[in-house]
Amino acid sequence: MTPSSLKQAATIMRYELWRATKSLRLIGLLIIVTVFSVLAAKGLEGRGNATAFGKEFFTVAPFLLIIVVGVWLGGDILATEFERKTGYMLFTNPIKRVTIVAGKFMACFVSTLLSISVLYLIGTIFTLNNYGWAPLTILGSFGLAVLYGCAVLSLTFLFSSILGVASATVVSFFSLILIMPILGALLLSNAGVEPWFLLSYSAGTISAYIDPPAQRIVSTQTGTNYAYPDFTISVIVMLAYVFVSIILCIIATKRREMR
Amino acid sequence: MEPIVTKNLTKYYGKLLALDTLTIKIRKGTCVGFLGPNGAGKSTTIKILCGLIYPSDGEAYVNGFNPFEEPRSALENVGCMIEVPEFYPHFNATDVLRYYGKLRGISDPELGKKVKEILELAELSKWAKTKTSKFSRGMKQRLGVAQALLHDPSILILDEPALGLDPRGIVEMRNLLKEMVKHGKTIFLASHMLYEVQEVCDTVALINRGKLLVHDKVENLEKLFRVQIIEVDLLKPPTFKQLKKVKKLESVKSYFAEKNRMKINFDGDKVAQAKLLMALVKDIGLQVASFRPSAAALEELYLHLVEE
Repeated sequence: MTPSSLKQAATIMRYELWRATKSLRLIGLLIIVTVFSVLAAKGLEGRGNATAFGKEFFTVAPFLLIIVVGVWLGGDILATEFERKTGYMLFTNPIKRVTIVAGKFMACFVSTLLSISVLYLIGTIFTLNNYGWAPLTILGSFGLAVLYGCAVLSLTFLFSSILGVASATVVSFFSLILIMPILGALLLSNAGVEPWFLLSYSAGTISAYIDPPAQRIVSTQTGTNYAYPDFTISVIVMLAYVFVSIILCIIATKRREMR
Repeated sequence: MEPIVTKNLTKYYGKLLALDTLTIKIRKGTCVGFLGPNGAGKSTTIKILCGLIYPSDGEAYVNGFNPFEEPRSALENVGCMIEVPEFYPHFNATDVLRYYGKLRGISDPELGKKVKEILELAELSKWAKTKTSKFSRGMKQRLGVAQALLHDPSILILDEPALGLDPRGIVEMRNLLKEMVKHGKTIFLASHMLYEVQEVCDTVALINRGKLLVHDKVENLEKLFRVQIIEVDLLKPPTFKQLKKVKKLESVKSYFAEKNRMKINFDGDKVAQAKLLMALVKDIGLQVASFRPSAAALEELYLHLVEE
């Protein structure tokens, strides 16, 4: 008898993780995260205090690494089923496509969580080793990083459900690392509009949470400056990216044909 | 209830009409050969039945369920294999079968046993732990069929299962399908190999340019189109005089002779066939070593209908 959709999603998750392990994709990713984190931490040694170190370490490392992790894991995950025709085997099983998306998403989420945990573990170990203590706000920052990772994955899944393998990877990577940050900077500097709706802008909360400046909005002669994104709005924006992207991804995967 | 039903199934790829109001019912326990030239709409039909592409119009039902709306119920007792299957390259044959077996709810001790059995049946036991990226086309084909049979489905939907197999593999595949027919499975078999279809299937559905031309029992079609061909092996090549006598026989419509072999297209049933053989031996003096019905009968029929 066909198992429940939940059991099928769990099977897909397990086998996707197994596939990522066998292909050395997961191990490769963890090596990249570890090497990058250690190098970044070494480079920041000598900062005045634990908070300053943590704030700097958790600025660049999560922003860049989470994008790499998300695109690395999710860029081809759905597209490959259609393009390399492995879907002829998978989709002809008694399974709903939404279950397939759910299983694959859970697998990528577990890998993302593992990568972010390694990053935060290394950051925290270096903070403790260098300064003897670490701010507790790192935990909040970790939560925001996980949420951001989830949003990045959802967006990558969406691109993977509508594009080919190569284009999904390229579009996901450049929209997250280039297009969104540039758009945000232009809106802020030229129009004075706070780009609260951009995922890349919301990612600013990851480092800001460690030691937020006293004032978020600062009025200057040239206009209004935003020291960091609003936490509540950013969480809502990231959640919106997660849900909207994944819903669109499910619709696209259901509609996509295996020709 | 028929296990496979299509009603006015129509599919457009852009402006190209790939399926034109195809209506077909496959009865339980029958093996239907789905024949047609390239681009006739065979794969499109099969992909719609397996829920891989949407029809532009019409309906498709497998097990009484629409494969798009209720894939879990429609595909539960179905084994599908479409084109040359592709697998995750880092998975070995055992991983592949275990994965799809789990998705179909085969529990662990039973799954291990079934995987072993099916790998033996597909003659892949030696390669059970080899990555599928190292598999040849024929091996992939065999693994695809193994995957389709793993859960012992009552319905098999197969698209060119013998494609890429060597002659031995083709014979094995044919025997395997015959065995499935004996076990009462419903088989919908798209193929180019007319001999395979004639050997395995009870009925034939011929499709061309998306339209169903005919769907009937092979012998009915042969009678309807008066296509009966036997192949005769002779101990000695026939003489010119003997060939002239063959041509003059009442039931013979045409013949083809090459060295020790003859193909005779005749009119009539089994009795006519018996009389013809007697005449070849007794009246004409041919030394017949063996004879068999020819796959060319279906071939003639196929060409006749497709050309029309």
